[in-house]
Amino acid sequence: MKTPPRKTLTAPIRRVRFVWVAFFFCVWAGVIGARLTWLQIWRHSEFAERAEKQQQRTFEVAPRRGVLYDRNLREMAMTVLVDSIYAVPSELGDNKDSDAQLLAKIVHIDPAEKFTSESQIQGRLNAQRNFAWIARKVDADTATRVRELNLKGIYFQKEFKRFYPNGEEGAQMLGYVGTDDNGLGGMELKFDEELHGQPGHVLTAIDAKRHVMGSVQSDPEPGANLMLSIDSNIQYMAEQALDAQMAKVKAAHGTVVVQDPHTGQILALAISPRFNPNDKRHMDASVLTNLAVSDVYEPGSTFKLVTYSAAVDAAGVEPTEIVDCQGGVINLYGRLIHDDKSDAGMGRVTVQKALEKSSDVAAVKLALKLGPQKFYDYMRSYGFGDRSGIELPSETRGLLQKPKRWTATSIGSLAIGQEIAVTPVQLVTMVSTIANGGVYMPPHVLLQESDGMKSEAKLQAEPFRPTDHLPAQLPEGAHRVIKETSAAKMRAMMQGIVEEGTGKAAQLNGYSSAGKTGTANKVDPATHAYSHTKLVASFAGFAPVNNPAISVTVVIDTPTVGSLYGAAVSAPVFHDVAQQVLEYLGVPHDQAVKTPQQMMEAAKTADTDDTQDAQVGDLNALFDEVNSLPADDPLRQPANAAAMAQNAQAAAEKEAVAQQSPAPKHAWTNLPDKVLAAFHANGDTTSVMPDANTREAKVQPPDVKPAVQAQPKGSVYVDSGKRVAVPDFSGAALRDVVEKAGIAGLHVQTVGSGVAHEQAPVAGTMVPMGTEVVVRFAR
Amino acid sequence: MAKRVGVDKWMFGTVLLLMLFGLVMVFSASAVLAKATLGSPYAYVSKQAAWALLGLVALFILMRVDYRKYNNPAIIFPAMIATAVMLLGVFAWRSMNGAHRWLHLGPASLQPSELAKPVIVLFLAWFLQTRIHQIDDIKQTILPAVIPPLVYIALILKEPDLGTALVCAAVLMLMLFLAGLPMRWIAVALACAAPVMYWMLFHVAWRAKRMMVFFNPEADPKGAGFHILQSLIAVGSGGLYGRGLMEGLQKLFYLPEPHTDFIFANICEELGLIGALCVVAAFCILGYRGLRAAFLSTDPFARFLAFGLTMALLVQAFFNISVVVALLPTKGIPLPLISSGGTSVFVTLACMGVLLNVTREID
Repeated sequence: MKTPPRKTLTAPIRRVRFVWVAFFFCVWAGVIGARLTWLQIWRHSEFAERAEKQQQRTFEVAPRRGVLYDRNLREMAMTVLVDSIYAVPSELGDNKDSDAQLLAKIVHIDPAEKFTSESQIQGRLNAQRNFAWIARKVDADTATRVRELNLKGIYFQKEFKRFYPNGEEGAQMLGYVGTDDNGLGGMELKFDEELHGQPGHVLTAIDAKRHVMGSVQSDPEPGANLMLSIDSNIQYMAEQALDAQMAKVKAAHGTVVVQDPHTGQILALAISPRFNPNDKRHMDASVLTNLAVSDVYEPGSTFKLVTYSAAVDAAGVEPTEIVDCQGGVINLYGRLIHDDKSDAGMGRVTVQKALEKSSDVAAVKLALKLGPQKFYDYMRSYGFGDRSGIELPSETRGLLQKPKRWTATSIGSLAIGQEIAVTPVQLVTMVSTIANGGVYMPPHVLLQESDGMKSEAKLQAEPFRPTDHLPAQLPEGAHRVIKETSAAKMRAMMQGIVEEGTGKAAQLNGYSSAGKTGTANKVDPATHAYSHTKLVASFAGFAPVNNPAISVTVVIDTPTVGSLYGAAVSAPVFHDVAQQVLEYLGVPHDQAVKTPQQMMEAAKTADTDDTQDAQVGDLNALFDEVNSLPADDPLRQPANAAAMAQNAQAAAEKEAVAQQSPAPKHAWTNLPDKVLAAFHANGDTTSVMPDANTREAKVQPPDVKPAVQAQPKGSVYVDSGKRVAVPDFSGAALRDVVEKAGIAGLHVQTVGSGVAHEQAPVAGTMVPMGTEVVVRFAR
Repeated sequence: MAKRVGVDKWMFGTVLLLMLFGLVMVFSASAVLAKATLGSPYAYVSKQAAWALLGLVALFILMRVDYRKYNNPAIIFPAMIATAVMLLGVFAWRSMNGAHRWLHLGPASLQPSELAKPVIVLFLAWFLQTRIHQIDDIKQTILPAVIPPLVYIALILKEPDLGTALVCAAVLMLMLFLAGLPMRWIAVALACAAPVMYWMLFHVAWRAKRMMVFFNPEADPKGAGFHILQSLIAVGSGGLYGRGLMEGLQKLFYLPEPHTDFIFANICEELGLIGALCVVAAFCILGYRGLRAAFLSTDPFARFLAFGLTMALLVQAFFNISVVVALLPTKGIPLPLISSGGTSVFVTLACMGVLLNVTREID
């Protein structure tokens, strides 16, 4: 205890002054708090932006673009590290000009390219002090040669470069990238965001002495890898077959689409001509379009499949029913629609026969029977007039008007594939619908997607194994278009087209096949009328008939050499593609396999039987007889047509008689006269019903070998006693292996990637034709 | 009647927290700079930690030393003379960055201006305790009270260290104000200071520039306005929650002195408004507890001592923060207890030890 000793000397401190001081600091603290809130909340975004802006002296680290794989996990588009060469000009001293000369000699490979010319390099070396590009993304050889120069002040920087290991393969579908790795077409464009990945950032701050401080703020995130439903081998086969035919017929361009009818997955999407996405400088802008989804054409007769299947499904039309082709001409509200010249005189025939011979009159009659709305609904249900949603950019809907906008004769035009424009992908999906039993499966080209490095999820190879059933759970967008029985009837009729009708060139060796030819006239832009020299030849089909493994559409635009028709131009491509692909897939044969000699003989017989085969030189004259000519051909004389119409009945009778001898199996030839008379009276097909037995016989699937069908897929199927020597595959690339094996008549099962290293059985072993050879590839 | 109770636990805890927080922030702000200039990211923070440890020892000792022992001319006058000598002594060394602020003694460097603040407080507390009844007497009170501090302030200005001089002047003014100096004298003092301030601010070219950019930082964003603009960008980009501890980007050479004078900008950027307000609140707590001690103290010496020490801390802290948020023109002055700076943290902790001892007698 202490008593204040100097109390007398101290006056009390005025307490109010404490309050003033406290108040002063409270205000100060309040102002600081308000100021902080103002800066950090109110003006936060402004300052955050400024901070980011000044920190963007920072440079981006490019992410590795994702890989595009085919379904067997073979790279179709990948990103590789390549050298770029740069100089620090201040370190070159007085050697700038001589160095530029030396370097340009090595890096200036393409004279058309300006960036690496000597004067350009020289200019850059003299303009900059610290950094100047010599050449970007050079190949390994060039980089090595520059390294060997051992020049002072020349450095190398690794950069990413997009590389398409298969060159032109699938170019339009894969697309290409620009200089800064942005997708500019195809899958590269459609999935640019996913493929691109997230760039990393390196922050650099510069102090007063211009020292650069680097600190990696974020690592780049590689882009997602995509797996396409494409099988690189099938793609190759389709492109080879298409290219060969393109060279023969000298067409403007062509498209082949191969689809799995049971899943809608696209297995190959071949377009010709192509471009090389590795060589951006020499790309021709006219070939960049993906014709399979972005180009439309009038399908012509192939579209009759829609007309016929709709009629079979909704109007109860049977393949064995009789339809009067009226001698090949029909008057629709004053407009005459003609059958092809060669069929002039076709009268009362079965629906089957009408389709086999591609009768326009019959197609028009069937469409009329359906009525506009029903017919339209079927077209829409098949996917026409709408985007399929396939994972490719710039897909078009095609052209299809609503019924209320149709003219009186539109239904007739549509029935034969005019006044409608479709894409090859729409067409193949329609054929797949018939092939798989009547269910529309939306086409897809993307199979799997991985999240790059983000997730550990790895892509799994999904080799294509043909199935015989639709997936248990139908995917989104899938729907039934026609009844299963209707699809079966259509398949049988389409097989008839290949065996008896316009599509004989699509016959396969050892497999049944089905399909429809078509030849459409292009509209001449000058006259706005159908041109009869510019045609689009198409074929849409599938194989094998009973249990289709693949659907194939072939569209060849404006062939100029030889026959211009679908039967002669496109059907052989179908044959080549389907034959190779089915063998490659190891699909069991459902027909006897003919030796080459037998094939030749069959071709000869076919010749004498007034049928065609792809291997027989100029088929022009022959195909003119069986293929449809454009209905609106302006060269046709109305007088001639009128005369034909008058003679229609007589001609029909004549044909009926004529058909009797070569095809006695057709039931309709035995129809009683009174039925025929009734048919003529009605001018319609409804009243005539062939007897049930015949009908059943017709829709019955073709003979198959149950033992073969029961075998598991991919197993060896020995279809003949003939033995061949296994070729030596060692060192060969995959495509060469497939070719060699094809020539020898063997199947190949491939393992790995790169070039062939091992094979079993070894080269020289005598094995039966059709044996599967396992070839292991390694890099 | 003062009772012997423990020290002010609020004050003690806040001081310790601020000091530890300061070490963390010094590391965060200086690691990159230290790595770049001195080779080790720990160069600054380890030095700071050593000084803080010494300061802590001083704090614990002084906390137990009865403050009345300083109420003795035999201690106060030698301290004043020693400080004056040291303030003169700085001119014996070559200037660093254009200023004579340090006594370089072997591995350690002392900043005498930091010492001047508590010595002024000590002197005024001792002198004013007996002069309250004659506070407006020029000869007896005002001149004797004002001249020694003004000598210090003049010497500090000569270094030059305008910031510390201003803090000393503010402490002098606040203590005279508390002693009851009539408002007219305060007005006279401010009127005298104004032309001096004007001359100081605008007749030195670089300060004039700083003044101009204070009013408009955008006028010269790459030159004189650079510091204040970078500080504002750091504060503003912090937002509510900040970028996260160690995540600040402005310290990468954008901020001037990110670990000393502008460490509060780094705090704002990394810890956001929440962290910044916490720091302001911590100083408010110290200010409140210090003022409370002075207010409740019955001993006039204790009252002036506690008031002066509290003011020295609070004025400097608020001054520093105000500079960072551009409420005041840029003056080089550290944030007490937090900024990197050996003498500053040591002296501040020692002063807090004395202040805590005063609080022992407060109920």
